[in-house]
Amino acid sequence: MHRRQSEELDERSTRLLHAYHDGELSSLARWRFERRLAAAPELRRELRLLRRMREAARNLDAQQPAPDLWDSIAFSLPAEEARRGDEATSVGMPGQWKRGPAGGMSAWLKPAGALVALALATLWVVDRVPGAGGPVRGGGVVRWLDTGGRDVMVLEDDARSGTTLIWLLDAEVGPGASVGRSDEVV
Amino acid sequence: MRLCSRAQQRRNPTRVWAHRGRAGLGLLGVALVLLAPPGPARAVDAVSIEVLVSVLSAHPGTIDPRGHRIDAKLRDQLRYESLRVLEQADLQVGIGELASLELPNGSWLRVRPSDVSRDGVLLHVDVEGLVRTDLRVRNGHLVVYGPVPHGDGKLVISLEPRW
Repeated sequence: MHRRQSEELDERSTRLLHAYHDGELSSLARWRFERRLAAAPELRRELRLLRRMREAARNLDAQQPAPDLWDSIAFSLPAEEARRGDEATSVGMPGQWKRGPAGGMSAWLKPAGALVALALATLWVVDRVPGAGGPVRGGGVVRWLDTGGRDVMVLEDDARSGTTLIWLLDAEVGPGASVGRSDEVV
Repeated sequence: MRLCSRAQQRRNPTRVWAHRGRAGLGLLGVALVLLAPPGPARAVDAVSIEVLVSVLSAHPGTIDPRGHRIDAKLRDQLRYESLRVLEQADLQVGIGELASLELPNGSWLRVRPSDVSRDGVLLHVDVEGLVRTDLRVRNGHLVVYGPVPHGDGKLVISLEPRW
């Protein structure tokens, strides 16, 4: 069994915290969580730790350890710390998809602004565009990728197919073999 | 409660706007309920990851029935004559734990599932010497990696997480 991350935080709080840190919460959920954050010092401490790790990862970006080195480190770390390490490492890397918590606006202005915008949008939609569809959330399967500088083809099918193909185009190949296009052979 | 006719309402614009305001607030409430995100995904302690290691070859042969889903994906991208499944493994991996599988060419596949959200499981995958990736994968989504040189063919590694 894997070790629980913290005795102070329950599993749900931890999931929410990571989702908040990764910018994956919707406006309303973020607002709710920020209210909770304001009242929970252990959550704030955990968040500070995550942010420090992100900063450290950014600073170390230029000297990213080779996969083998990272793997040996990851093996020696307790599972949850390894997970945090991976998440922190992902931040700021090429092709990185996740975004951090938005800055600039104060915590209470963001939900208020979201509510006003939502109210205006609701009235506008009801008045002007009956039957308009809702927003579609983006985000592909591949969030981060490191091929060691080699070209890669990533084919992400729509949800119906449910398949993602990650194919190195200039990987070392066997005798008489080439890859990458439909007119090529294995 | 005082009733007023439509004609009276027309004569009283304040009342009309108050009525519209109430309707707008009602709609706003409905919208908030509809747009509110669902709670966090159900607690998931472990993910089952089916790993299939197959070899594609230019030599004539058959398509292994276990590799039909991969074949359906790859046949438009590559020309090959046979697909043979060399290894099939069902890894039960706890969230945050690392699972490793030695590939037929001696390199290692390492998979670590992180948190599970309504968008899927966050998987950190390292195909040694080929690629390292972070993926957010929905239940049952198939991810195919390749090619890993293997003899006169190529290995393809597919992962299908379920929880």
